[in-house]
Amino acid sequence: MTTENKNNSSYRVYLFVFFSVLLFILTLWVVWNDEFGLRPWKKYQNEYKSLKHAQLEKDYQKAQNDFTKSGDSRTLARLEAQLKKAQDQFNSSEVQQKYRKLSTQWADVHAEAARNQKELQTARGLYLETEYYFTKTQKAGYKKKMDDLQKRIDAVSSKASSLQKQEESLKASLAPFTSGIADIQAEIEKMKSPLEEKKERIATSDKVPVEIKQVYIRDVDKADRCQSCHIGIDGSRQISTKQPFTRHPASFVFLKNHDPEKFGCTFCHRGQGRATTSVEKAHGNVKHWDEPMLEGDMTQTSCLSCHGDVKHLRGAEHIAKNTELVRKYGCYSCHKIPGYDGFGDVGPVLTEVGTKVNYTWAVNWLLDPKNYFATARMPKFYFKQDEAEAIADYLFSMSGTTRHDADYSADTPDEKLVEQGRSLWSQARCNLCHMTNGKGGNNVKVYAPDLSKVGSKANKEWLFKWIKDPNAYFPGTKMPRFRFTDEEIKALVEYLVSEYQDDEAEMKYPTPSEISSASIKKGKDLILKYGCYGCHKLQGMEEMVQVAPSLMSQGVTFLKGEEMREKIGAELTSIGSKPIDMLDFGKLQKAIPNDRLSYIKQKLRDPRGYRLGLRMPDFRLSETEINGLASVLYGFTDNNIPSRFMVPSRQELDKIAGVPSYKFTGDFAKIINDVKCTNCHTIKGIGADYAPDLSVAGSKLQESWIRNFLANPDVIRPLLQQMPKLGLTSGRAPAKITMPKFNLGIQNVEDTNKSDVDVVLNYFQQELVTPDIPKEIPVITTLAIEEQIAKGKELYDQKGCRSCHQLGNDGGALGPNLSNVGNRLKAGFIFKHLENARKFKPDIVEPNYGFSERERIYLTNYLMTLKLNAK
Amino acid sequence: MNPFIEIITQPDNIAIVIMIIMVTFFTLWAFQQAFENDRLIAAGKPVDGENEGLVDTFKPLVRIELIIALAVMVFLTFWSIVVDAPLEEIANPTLTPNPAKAPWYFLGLQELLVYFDPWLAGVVLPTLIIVGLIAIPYIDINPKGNGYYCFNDRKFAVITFSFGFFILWLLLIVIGVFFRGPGWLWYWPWQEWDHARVVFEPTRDLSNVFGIDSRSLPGFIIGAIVVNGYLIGGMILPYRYLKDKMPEFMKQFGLIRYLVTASLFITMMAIPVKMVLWLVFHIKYIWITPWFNV
Repeated sequence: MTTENKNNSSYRVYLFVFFSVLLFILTLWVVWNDEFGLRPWKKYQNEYKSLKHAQLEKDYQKAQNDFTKSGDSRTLARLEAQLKKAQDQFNSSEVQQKYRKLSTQWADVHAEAARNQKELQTARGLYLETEYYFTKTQKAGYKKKMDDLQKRIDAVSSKASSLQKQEESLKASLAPFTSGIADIQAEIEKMKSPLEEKKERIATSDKVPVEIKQVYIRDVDKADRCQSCHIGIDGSRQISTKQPFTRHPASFVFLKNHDPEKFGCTFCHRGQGRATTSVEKAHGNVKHWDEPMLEGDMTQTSCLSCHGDVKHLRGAEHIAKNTELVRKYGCYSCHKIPGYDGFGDVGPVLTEVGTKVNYTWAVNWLLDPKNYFATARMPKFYFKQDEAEAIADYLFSMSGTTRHDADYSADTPDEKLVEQGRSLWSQARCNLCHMTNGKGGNNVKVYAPDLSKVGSKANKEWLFKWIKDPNAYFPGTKMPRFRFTDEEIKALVEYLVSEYQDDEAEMKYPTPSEISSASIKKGKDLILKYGCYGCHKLQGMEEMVQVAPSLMSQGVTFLKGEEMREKIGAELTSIGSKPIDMLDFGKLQKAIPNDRLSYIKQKLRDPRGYRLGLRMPDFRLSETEINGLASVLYGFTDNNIPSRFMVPSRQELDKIAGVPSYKFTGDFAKIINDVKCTNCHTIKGIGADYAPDLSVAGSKLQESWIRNFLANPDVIRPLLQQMPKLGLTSGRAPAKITMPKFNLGIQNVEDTNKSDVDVVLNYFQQELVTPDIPKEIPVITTLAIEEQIAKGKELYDQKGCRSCHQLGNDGGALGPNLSNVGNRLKAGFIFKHLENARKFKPDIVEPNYGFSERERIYLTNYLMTLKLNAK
Repeated sequence: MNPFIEIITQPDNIAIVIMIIMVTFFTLWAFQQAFENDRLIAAGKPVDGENEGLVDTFKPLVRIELIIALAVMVFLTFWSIVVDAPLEEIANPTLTPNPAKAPWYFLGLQELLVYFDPWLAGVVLPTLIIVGLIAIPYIDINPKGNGYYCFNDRKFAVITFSFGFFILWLLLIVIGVFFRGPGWLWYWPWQEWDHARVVFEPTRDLSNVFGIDSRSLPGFIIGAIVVNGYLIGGMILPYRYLKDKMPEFMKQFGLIRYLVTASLFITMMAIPVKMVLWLVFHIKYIWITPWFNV
């Protein structure tokens, strides 16, 4: 072996040692990494525990301080002194001598009794054994042995009872020595126990193991470990406001109804519930995790997964508001969206639009609806001038008209007529729905057009026909038929046309001009391409209807007319869970984050931005609306939630149960269709929430009052009903809102000789009643009615009703004015309402005073005396 | 980010980057030694490691192996702590990823799927690779080069192995990893991947070139003639050539060894032949049979 070899081997030894040490260090690192590095939740749990410990410790200290400061501590000191004294006395040699003597005696007897008990057990055991053998063998020897044993048992048990008596008497004579001490000790214990309990709590909380907290939801196969870090999410107390230790906000709504042990967290919040190794991973903010965690209001998008109706859902206000946007812009007209049916019902009927509007106006409107009024719902399609003209040509030719504009700007209006029209305008409260010059339009959900420039849009003949009978032109319109006389309508039209002229409007066709057939063809093609029929009713472009199964079996699949149409947009039923690869980012692939939410938002922001040839029009939504709509769309998922999690809406439940949805019947249905009561009122679940719910109005309101009110509507609730609504429509001047006067009672219902007011009143009394509200209130016979009224008044003053309700000129304005309540409400309703105001209006602000039945009778009797005499 | 840099920095591909560096380094080192030894042999000087006879195993070899094993364990442990196993999106049976790439070490085989029937590329060729590697000690009767590197004395062996390993195995892996994008289309490192990219590249079968349906009987016969002609001719022609030129060697080598070697070799060479036919002449299959296509 050469020296070179030797050098080589020592060199190898160093390498061996080096790598061995390195491997050892790495092994330690592996252990550390596995124990702590990959388990950050341990740190959080320990931190939480120490925070909780500190809080409980503070509680304990505080309780101790309170105890020391309070008189209890002196009592304790006194008791302890007493205890000491008693113990001293007990320990004095004289007493001790007696006590010891007695206890020795007792101990002897006790030991003897124990021995005896053992003997008894032995004898019984032997007896049972012998009995077994005797039963089996029937030998006389066993029988004899049994008898002997029985004697032995008898002797031992009689001894046992005598020993027990001795023991008891000794114990009784021992008791007085210690009973005083025991009593004092028990009292001290009782005083200290709340403190001890607090101390115990600290120990219990310290003992909670640090471990993964997992919730497994079998039905959806989800395992959430979120609570491993968010350890205090379901706690009864707020330990810290710092994440991840906080309690769930508004847990009385969310966690109370969705027990985290059953729902977990990702059910609503999404995110990667199984991940525990880092915050980013757990929250799903990592590549390839398509469901990042939802925070704040955005989480409400998950309500849509199970709740069929989020409109009246507590805690879902944000999403409820945003689902309105889907209705407002009529997304469902082009896209299939779960829970939204409708076709051609967003915009007005266009079958005879040529008889309605000016041609130039129509072209300009097609070019950019927001040029006409800023709140127009119709989107911009980016038509070129010739395209817009072609479409207008098609529509006008379908109406049987030519290019023409009715120009009234040069006319001199009849001042008298205009003045009459103006007063009719305000009397009919047209401004309630229609905005003019930035004012009015408070009932936003009917989406009535802005009339500021109507004089340059529509012609007088059409306006006259329209106001006279809106249903004739547009069946199903929301515009009510006011019972105006022809003269009144003429005045109103004159007022509208002269008052609301657009000075800048251009009229290109004061004399009619023919339409070329090439243009009509082009317009039709454009309409088919962009699917105008989705929102507007167009002749020959009605929705394609699937046929009944019986026909299907004969090979007929669709009753497909030549031009019957389907919704042209992409189906959105599961857009919220659509695989990312199936979203076409087109030229924005690199420009925006490739996730679903960004895709949806960008699509709403710039509908045609992803690639060439897209047809979706631009609604020019505000960023708030984009976020709102996106949060709704994001909630449309196909996540296979089992049916027991589902909370169907009232309508869906009725459908499942086979209960037909409520339908107005008879002549009243005709009136509803005519006057459109449900534009503002909800009746039996149908209608809007702009005005009071009338579902039980028949049980609530007095007939004569309804009659008077319909003839001459007045404000009932000065603040409660109207103010919040005004707050929503910011930027519009609040108007004093009352119900419009529909001039009911002037005409009879179509095809009958019944007065429409009578029909309404009759329907109220027959249909809009509930057995929950008694017709009469109980009568107290023992007390004169005058005294009852006096007691009621007393209660009224005493409970502070006046701070919200107005009586005469006195009282608050939050509740309804009660000056005339005796004429307005039925006694039964007041009586029931006082019992539980929330029964009929869950969101009412009136507190529940917990009146007794007698008190309610007094109050009702009092309130029924509040009447204003009809002037 | 540039797709090339993105690919190269992916945790999946650390291994292949290491592989490229190591293979280059050791190959150059081996060839440098081989040429050095060739020079020494040509000059008639002794070569280190030649005719050494028996040597100790434990001291020079096992100890070094132990140290290397330690070093590799250190490296692998460190790597596994620092780099997490790279996960992709959640598996969705209705949505396969595009491109769906095999683990990097199989990407060479996957690349073969472009040119061959799956049965050939996925079953026959891998089996032959293993069989061939096992057969090497039995068909290699050249005593030169034991214990040292050389080139001149083992030209055929070194060239064949280098071609098979570097070109047909490693290069195909590199292509699969770095040059294949969505739709298994070719992307240069500086090109962006585009899922919507459309490439129209019609291909045909061999007999279609002559206007004969490749699925008809004549097409079948043409295909059979060409494929079998390649296989049989590929064995007979070199045999006659070698018998002529190197009768001594062939006698020593023997017919069976020759047939095994030749069949393995021409199968290997069928791969580049097929690639050229596809890439240059747009020919997809040569021989269509009811069971497999060649």
